[in-house]
Amino acid sequence: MAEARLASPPPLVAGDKSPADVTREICAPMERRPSGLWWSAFLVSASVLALGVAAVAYEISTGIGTWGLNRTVGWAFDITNFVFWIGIGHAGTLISAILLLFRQKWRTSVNRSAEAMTIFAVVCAGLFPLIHMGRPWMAYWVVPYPNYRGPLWINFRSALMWDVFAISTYLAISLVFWYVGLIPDLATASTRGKPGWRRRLLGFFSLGWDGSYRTWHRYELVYLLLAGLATPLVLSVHTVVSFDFATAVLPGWHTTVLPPYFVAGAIFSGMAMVLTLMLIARKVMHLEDYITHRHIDPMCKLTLLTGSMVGLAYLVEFFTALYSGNEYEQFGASNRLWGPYGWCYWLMIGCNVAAPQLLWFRWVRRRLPLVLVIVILVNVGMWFERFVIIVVSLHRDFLPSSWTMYVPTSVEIAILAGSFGLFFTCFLLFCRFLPMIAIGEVKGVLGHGQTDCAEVTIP
Amino acid sequence: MTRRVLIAVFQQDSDLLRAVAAVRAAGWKIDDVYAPYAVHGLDRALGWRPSRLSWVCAACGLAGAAFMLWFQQWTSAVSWPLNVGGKPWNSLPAFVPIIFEGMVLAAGLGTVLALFLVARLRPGKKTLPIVPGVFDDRFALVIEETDATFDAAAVSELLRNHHAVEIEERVWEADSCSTGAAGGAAGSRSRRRLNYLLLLVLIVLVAANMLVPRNQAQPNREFLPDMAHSPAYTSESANPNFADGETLQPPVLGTLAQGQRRLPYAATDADALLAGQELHNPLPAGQAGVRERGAVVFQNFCTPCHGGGGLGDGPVALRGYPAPPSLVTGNSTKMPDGQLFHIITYGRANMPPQAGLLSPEDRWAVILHIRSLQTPNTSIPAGTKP
Amino acid sequence: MNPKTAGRYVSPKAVRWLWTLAVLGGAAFVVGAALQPQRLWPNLLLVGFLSVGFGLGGLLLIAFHDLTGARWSSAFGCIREGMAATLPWAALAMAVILVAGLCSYPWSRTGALTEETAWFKRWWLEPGFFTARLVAYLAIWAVFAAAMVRASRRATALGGPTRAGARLSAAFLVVFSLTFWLASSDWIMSLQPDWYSTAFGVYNFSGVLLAAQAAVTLLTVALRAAGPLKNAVGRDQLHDLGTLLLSFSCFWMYIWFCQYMLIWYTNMPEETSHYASRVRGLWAPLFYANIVINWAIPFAVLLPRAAKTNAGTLVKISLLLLAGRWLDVYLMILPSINADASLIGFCEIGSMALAVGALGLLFLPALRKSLRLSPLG
Repeated sequence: MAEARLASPPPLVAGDKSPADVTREICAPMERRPSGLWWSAFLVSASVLALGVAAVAYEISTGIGTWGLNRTVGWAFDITNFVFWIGIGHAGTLISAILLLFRQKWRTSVNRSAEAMTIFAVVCAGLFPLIHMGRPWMAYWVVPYPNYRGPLWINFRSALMWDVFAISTYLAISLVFWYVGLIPDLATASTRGKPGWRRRLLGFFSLGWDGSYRTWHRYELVYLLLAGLATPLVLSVHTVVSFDFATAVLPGWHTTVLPPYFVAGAIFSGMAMVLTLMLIARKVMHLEDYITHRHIDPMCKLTLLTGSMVGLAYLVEFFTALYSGNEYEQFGASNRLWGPYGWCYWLMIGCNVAAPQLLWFRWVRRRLPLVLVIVILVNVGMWFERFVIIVVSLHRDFLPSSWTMYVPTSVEIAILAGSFGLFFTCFLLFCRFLPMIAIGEVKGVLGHGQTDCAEVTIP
Repeated sequence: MTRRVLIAVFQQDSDLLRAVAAVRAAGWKIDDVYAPYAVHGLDRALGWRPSRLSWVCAACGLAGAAFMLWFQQWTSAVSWPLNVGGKPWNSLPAFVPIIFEGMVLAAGLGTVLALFLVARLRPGKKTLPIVPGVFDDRFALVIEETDATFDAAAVSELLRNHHAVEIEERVWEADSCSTGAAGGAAGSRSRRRLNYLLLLVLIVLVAANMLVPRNQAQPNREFLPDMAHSPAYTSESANPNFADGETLQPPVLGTLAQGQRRLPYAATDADALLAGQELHNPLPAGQAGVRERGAVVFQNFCTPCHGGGGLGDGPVALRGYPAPPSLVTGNSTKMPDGQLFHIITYGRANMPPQAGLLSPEDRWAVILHIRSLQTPNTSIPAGTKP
Repeated sequence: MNPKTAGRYVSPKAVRWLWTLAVLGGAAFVVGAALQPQRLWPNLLLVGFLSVGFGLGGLLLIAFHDLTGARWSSAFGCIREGMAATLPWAALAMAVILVAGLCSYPWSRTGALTEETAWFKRWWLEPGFFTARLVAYLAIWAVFAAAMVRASRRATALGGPTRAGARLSAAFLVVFSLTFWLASSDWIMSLQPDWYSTAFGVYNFSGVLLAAQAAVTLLTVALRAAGPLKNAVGRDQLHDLGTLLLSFSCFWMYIWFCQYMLIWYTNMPEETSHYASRVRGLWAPLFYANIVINWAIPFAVLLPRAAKTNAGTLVKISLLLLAGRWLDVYLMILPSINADASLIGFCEIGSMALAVGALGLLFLPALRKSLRLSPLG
C-alpha cells in the first residue's frame, strides 16, 4: 500500500537522559545564579506590578469613580479581566488533571508550570471582584457566618454567590493539587545544593517524604482522585462564571449555550497562555530537551479544537438570535456586529476564529515563532471576547434613553497591566525557586517511546 | 524491640521489578521499596491491594454535598426566609452549584489530609534518605529478616543476580518508622519550649485584661467607620451645590407625585365652571369612613373660617376677617362637586388654595361632608347622636 | 482470511432473533398506528432520529479514535465501523420520514409565523429550503460514513491509524458540528416553533455520544462473550469503557442542567413554555425519570472501580442508558406534538423494536466484513 502509516512517536524527552540527568538539569535553575535575562524580565514585571499596586491604592483610597463605569455599564474592565484570568487558569487544570485521566504522557513536562500558572491566574482573577467591591475590607461579608444581623445569611440563590464558592474552591483545590504534586520534588531538591535556609525551607515543606513505595502507592491514588475531582471542578468554575451572565435576562448574556461555550473559551485562552509561557520559558530557562514538539504539537491541536468550538458558539448565538424572532435578541446581535463597538467583535473573530485556523497545517505548528504570534493573538482575542460579551451587551440595553458608551480610564488600564505584572512576577519567582518540571513524573516517562523496559511479566 | 532488615540498591527500575518478583516467588517478606518516582507496575509486582483512600474521598464528598444542601436550605428557607426575585424557598436548581463545590472541596481536602495522616507526613518532619540517591536515580528494596531461618546469604545472592549494586544489613528500632528517627529528640525539645512560651504569653495577656482598669464611659475606637457617620446635608442647612444655596429645593415645575393626576385648569372662575362640568366625585357617598374622613378634614382645615356648620361664622371671621359665604345656603348648594373641588384646589376671592395641604382624596371627602351639611337629614347616619 | 471462518462469529441465531424482533415490532406498530393514527408520525420521527444518531455515534467514535491516537480502543474498531455502516440506510429512512411528515410541523400550516420579527424563521423554515437542507445533511453524513468506514478498515488492516484517516476524521468533526446542530434544531426544536435554546444542539450531541458509548459497551461485552473479541478485551479496556460511560453520562447531565437551570432561573415565558408542558401531568414522572435513568443510576452504580470492570454491570447500565436515550428523545418530540397525554403503547414499543431489529440486521453484515479484514478475524 502506498499509504503512509503515522510514524511511531519520537521520545517525549529528547537527548537520551538518565534519571540523574533529569534531576540535575531541572534543579539547575534553582541552584545557579539567575541569568541576566531572568533579572531583566523580573525587573520589568515587578515594575509593572508596582504600577498596578499604585493604581489599586489610588482607586481604593479615592473610590470606584476613578474608573470609567457609569450607571448603564456597571461591569466593564474589572469583570472582563476577572473572566479573562479565570479562563487562563483553566488550561493548567486541564493539562494536569484531564490529561492525567486520559493518560496523555506528554503532559508530564508541562503540568507543573501549567498548575502554577493556574494558581497565579486565579489569584489575579480573584483580585478584580475584590477591588470592584470598592471597600475590599468588607469582603468577608460574602462568607456565610453567624452574625448579629438576624442572622441574615448571604443570598444562596445569587449567581455571584456561587462564584465566590466556585472560585475559592478552585483556588483551594488547585493549590492542594499543585502542592501534593510538588512534595516528592521538594524532597529531591532539599537534598541538593548548598546547605542553608533554602534547603531547610524545602525540607520543611517536603513533609518528611522518604520515597517509600507505601506512600507512593497511596500518593498515586490520591493524585488520581484529585485529578478526578479537579476535572469536573474546572468545568464547573467557568460554568458558574458564565451563570453570572446567563442568569440575567439581558440579550447576549442570557443564552443556554453560554456555560459550555465559556468552558471551551476558557480552555482555549488557557492553552494559548500555556503555549505563550512554554515557548518563552523553554528558551529562557534552557529546557528545550524537555519541552519538545511532542508537547507543543498537541497543545496547538487543542488550541485549534477549542478555538473552533468557540467559533461554532459564536455562530450558534448569532443564528439563534435571528431565529428566535425576539426583537431584543436580534438587536443585540446586530449591535455586536455593526454597533459602535463593532470593531471589538471583528477583532475577536479575527483573533479567535480566523488566526487559529492556521494551526491546521503542520508546517505552521512546527514554526515556533509563528505559533507564538498566533497564541498571543488568541490571548488578545479572548480578552476582547469577554469585553464584547460584558460591555457591548450592557451599553445598549432595553431602555434607549440609558444607552451610553464606556471608555476605560488610565487607572483601569494600569490595573490590567498590573495584573499581568503580578502574574509574570509570580511565574518568574516560581521558575527560580521551585522545580519547574515534575521531576518524578518525567523520570517515569523517560523510557516512553523507546523500548518499554518497565513491561515485565509478573508471575 | 529491634528488627533486622536487608537493603538492596538498584539502578534500573526493570531490575527492581524483576528482583521484587523473584523475592516474592522465593517467599521472603518485602517490607518496603524506596524509589525516586512511582514505578509503573510495582504495586502489582508487590501484590499490594489498592488503597482504601478512595472510600475516604467518596465519604468526604458525600458529606460535603449533604452539608451544603442542608445549609443552603436551612439558611434560605428556615433561619431567615428571604424572598429574592420571587424564587421559591426551596430553590434546588439554584443550590446545585454550591452543593457541587462543597462536595469537591470536602472530598479534595479530606483525601489529602487522610493521606498525610496515614503516610505520617507533616510539615517540618525530618528525613534522611534511606540510601544516598534514593531521591535521584536509586531504588532501595527493603527485605525484612523475619526469623532465624532467614538466609541472608541466599537473599544477597539472588539480589546480586538481579543487578543489585549494593546490599547492606541494618538494625531498626521497631517503632521508629524507617528513617524518620533522625533529629527527633531535638525537635520535640524545641517544640516543648515553644509551647511553654506560648502558654506564658497567654497567661500574661489574660492577666493584663483583668488587671488593667477600663474606662466604661469612653466609646470604643472606631475601625473603618465607613458610612456610620453620614455626611448628608440636613434639609435646613446651607448648600453650596445649588444656585440659591438652599438644601430644600422645590420640585421642578409641573412635577406630579406618583398616583397624582394633572388638573388641566387655571385659577379662574371660567375654569371653575368648566371643572364643575367635567369633574365628578370619585368617592362613593355611601362608603364607610369616607364621610367621617371628610368631617375630620373639615374640622381641621375649614372650621376656622367657615365655622363648624358651614355658616361662615368661624373664629377667624368673627375676629374681623371678611366672612366667607355660607356653605349651606345660596350659591354653594347649586355648585356641582367639580366646581367646589376647583375652588378648594385653587382658592377663590379671600380663600387661599388648599392643594398643598389637602390630598385630592381629602378634598373629595370634604365635599361629601359639605353636601351632608347642606342636607341635614341625611347628614347624621342612623344610630349616632347629633 | 477465509470468509467462512469470519462469518461463524455471528451466529444465525442472532439473525433469526433480529428478524423476529423486527417483524413483531412492525406488526405492533401497525396495530398501534391503526388505533392511534396521531402517534404514527411522531414515533417514526423518534426512531428515525435515534437510528441516524446510532450511525453518527459510530462515526464520532471513529473520529475520536483517529484523532486522539488512542491505542486501547483499537480492539472495538469493528463495532464502530458496524455502527457507522448503518448510517446511509438510516439516513434514507429518515429522509423519507421527514419529507412525508413535513405537514406535521406546526410552522407548515398557513397562518403560522406571521409576526414581523419572525422574518428569519419564515425564510429558514420555508418547506422547500427545509427539504433541501435535510437532504444535504443526510447525504453528507452518508458519504462520510462510507468513506470513514473504509478508511477505518484500512487502518485496522495496516495495524495503525493512517494520516488520510485522521484528515477525514478532522473534516468530519467540522462538518458534523455544523450540520448536526442545525439538523437537531430543524427536525426537533422546530416542532415547537416559538421556542429556542442555543444549547439544544449540544444537548443532542451529548445524548448521541452517551448512547453511542452505551451501544459500543454493550456490543463489546456481547462480542467478548460471543467470541471475536474474547482475547482483545481485558479488564483494563472494560474499565476504560466504564469510565467513558460515566463521564459521558455526567456530560449529558451537565448540559441538561445548564439548559434547564438557566430557563428556570430567568423564567421568561417564551423559554419556559418548553418545560412548562413537560413538568406537568403525566409527562412529569417521565421528565424526572429521564434524569434518574440517564444520570443518577449510572453515576451511583459506576462510581466504584469494581463496577466499571464488571461485564454484567456494564451491560445493564448500557441497556438502561439506551432506554434513557429513547426516553430523552421521546420527551423532546411527543409533548410538542401531542401535548395532552403521555403514553407508552403499541406504537412506541413496536417502532422501537422494528428499529432495533433493522439496525441489528444492517449492523451484522458490516461487522462481519470488518472482522474479516481485521487481524482478529
